[in-house]
Amino acid sequence: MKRYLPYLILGNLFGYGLIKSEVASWYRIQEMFNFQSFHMSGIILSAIVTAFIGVTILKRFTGKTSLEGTNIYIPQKSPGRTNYPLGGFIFGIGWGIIGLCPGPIFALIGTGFLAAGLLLIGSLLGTLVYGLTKERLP
Amino acid sequence: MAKPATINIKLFNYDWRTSRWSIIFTVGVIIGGFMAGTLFANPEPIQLSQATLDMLAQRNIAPPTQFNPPEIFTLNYPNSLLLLTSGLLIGFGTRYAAGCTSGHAITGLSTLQLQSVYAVIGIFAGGLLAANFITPMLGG
Repeated sequence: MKRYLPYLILGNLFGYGLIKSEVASWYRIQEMFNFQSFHMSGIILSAIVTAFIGVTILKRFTGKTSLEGTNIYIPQKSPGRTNYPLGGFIFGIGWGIIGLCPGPIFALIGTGFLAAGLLLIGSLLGTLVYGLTKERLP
Repeated sequence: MAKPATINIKLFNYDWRTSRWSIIFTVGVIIGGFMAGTLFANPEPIQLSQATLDMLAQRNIAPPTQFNPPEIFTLNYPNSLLLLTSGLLIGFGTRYAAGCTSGHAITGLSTLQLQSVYAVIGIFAGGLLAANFITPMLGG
């Protein structure tokens, strides 16, 4: 169990940040998509910069052993042209309407927000539909 | 005894124990949400820009008192159907694109992956389109 503690702590930080930064708010997402405030896009941009710094540090550890006991490496996304923009577009439509992406759904469930549970059921159904149609998709 | 009918879905045919860490991480996210949203909740409501408040007023949506508008996030019909449908799009799209905002915009772009650039363009195109043409139809 001790082995999994770091994941619990990292998840905890992520969930805490999603709520405290108000990323898990429909209002903030609408504000961003209407270009009315820098709040939300600022969070995304600063997260990219922070992640870039983190990854740069992590690259120095390439070849060292990770928590999983395997070598540290940064996997490349599998090749593909259609699925990335098309899947992103479909996800974006849902995000633009309901203002929540997968991480915030879980964080909001933690706050006891019932409607997020319905979103989770919907997204699990979406995953099922993807599983069923995967081979026939472009 | 007859074997129960099963469908074989390749995507779900994997040893979940190998990604036990992701379940633990998700539990962490839920606990983090509880800590930030309930235990150490910010007593102040979300401070939106005036432009957003004006826009919402036009759509009969009150200024925020909670994280998400009670005008939209309720369990009754038709809002429940809207939540389920949006969830479906989010779940399907995330799997199809192999990542969401965090997986592509944040970790994908920060590790300089071209596929994530395509995904992020798709995500923001969909989001802008929905937020400007579909979302305005919601609300009181």
